[in-house]
Amino acid sequence: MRVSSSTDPITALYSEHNGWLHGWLRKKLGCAHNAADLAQDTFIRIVTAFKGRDDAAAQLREPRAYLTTVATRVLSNHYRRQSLEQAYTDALRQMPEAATPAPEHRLIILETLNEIDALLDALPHKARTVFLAAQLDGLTYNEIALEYAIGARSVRRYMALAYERCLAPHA
Amino acid sequence: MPGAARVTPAAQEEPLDPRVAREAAQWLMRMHPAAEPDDADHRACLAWRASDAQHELAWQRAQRFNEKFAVMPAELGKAALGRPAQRQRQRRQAVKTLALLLTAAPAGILAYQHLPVAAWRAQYRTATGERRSVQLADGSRVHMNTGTAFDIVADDAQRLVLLHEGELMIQTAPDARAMARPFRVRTTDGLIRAIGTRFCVRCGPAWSEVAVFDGAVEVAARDGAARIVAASEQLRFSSDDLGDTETLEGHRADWVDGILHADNQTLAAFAAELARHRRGWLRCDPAVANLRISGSFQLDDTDRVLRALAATLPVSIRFHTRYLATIVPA
Repeated sequence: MRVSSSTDPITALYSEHNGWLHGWLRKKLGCAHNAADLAQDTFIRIVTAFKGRDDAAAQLREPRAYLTTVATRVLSNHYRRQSLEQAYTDALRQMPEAATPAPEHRLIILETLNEIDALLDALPHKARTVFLAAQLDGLTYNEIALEYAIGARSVRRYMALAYERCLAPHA
Repeated sequence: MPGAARVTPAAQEEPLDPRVAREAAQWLMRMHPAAEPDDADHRACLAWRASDAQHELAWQRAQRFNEKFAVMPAELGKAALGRPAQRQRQRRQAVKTLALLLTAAPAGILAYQHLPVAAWRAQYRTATGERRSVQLADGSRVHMNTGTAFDIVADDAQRLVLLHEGELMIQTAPDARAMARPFRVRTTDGLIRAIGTRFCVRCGPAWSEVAVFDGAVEVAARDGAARIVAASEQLRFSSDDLGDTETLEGHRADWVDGILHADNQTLAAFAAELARHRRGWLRCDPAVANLRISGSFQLDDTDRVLRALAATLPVSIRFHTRYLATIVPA
């Protein structure tokens, strides 16, 4: 990260608008502690996006509009992660003790879940359901079609869509 | 305005050409075990992968994605990933119970390195509940038990079976070549060399097991220790512990004929064995785990086996869904 040089446009963006962004996030979240973390995340994303493209960063016309766009994504990612963690801890609590993964695996599983969840985020709900049935239940496409009362062609279309999103998340 | 980068592991890699991604997605859909691809599909897919370096790259990336599911406890994955869609941003309270997770030690990472990725690419594969028999080019006969995947490498020097998961019963044929090639089976735990024989190899979660019916085999664990297992003996070993041979269990190969045999077995052990042949989850309530069971059961209809349990033992079967069943006290 090149945030050391004073002429660096990202550094300029940061020093000029960080206070404002922090306040914007705090208002959305109602929590100063998380707001600081998410402001940090927002700038990390921006640094990554403009890596090696300083001119582009220097030409940002409306920096605050840009910051809110990125911060909104960071925020929705934050909520997504929170609901995932909630569902995961609920599921752990409801499992019989003997069936729960060892404590040293729980966090790793959560991180893996988070990676998958982020990739499947924009997928239509039906496609997500079909994909999970194939990946986790070990059902065949024909069985999935029966189970969810949809056509076998739809099952195949949803599967391909899910894989496409995972391979090209920007598309 | 430039789009913001998504800080996901995939986003940090070079993006794939969207056309390649779309094409790869079609192949991944076709080759998924759930699509029950046949040998012609496998050959066509291999040809597609080999035709362009970008194809292979896309394929490998998707395999890494598939691996994440392979190590995921299915029930947890379903509950977390299949949670109801969020209608709006909810200002839920931060998860209070992260303490439940934070007892984690980084040591666990290593345990997750053993990934069944190879099982996806295997030339020969059976689904859960499926059993079949194949004849190899050298004349050897291989019976595949439920949920099994293997590849075969045969060249001038060797006949090598790579067993990725599941269980095989192998009847080796004498090699017709002038220079007889050894017949060997590799598991994650070690290498098994057949000495003119009929034997079973099973790939367990943290061990491999060999049972010898005719002839003998030589077992070499990954750490180098080796031992001969003779006819009517069996041996369970891991990569660094060869263990001792035991007398062959009488009904060890009954699965080849579609039969599951129990001889005064605990219900928990029986359920674990039966679960290998059923899609979904089969659990046994601890309250009935130590009941004993004996008998022979047809593997072709595992629902019927469960009904038979309920008829002969003080248990009942609770079906939560078609794919999640629990054996509970009656």
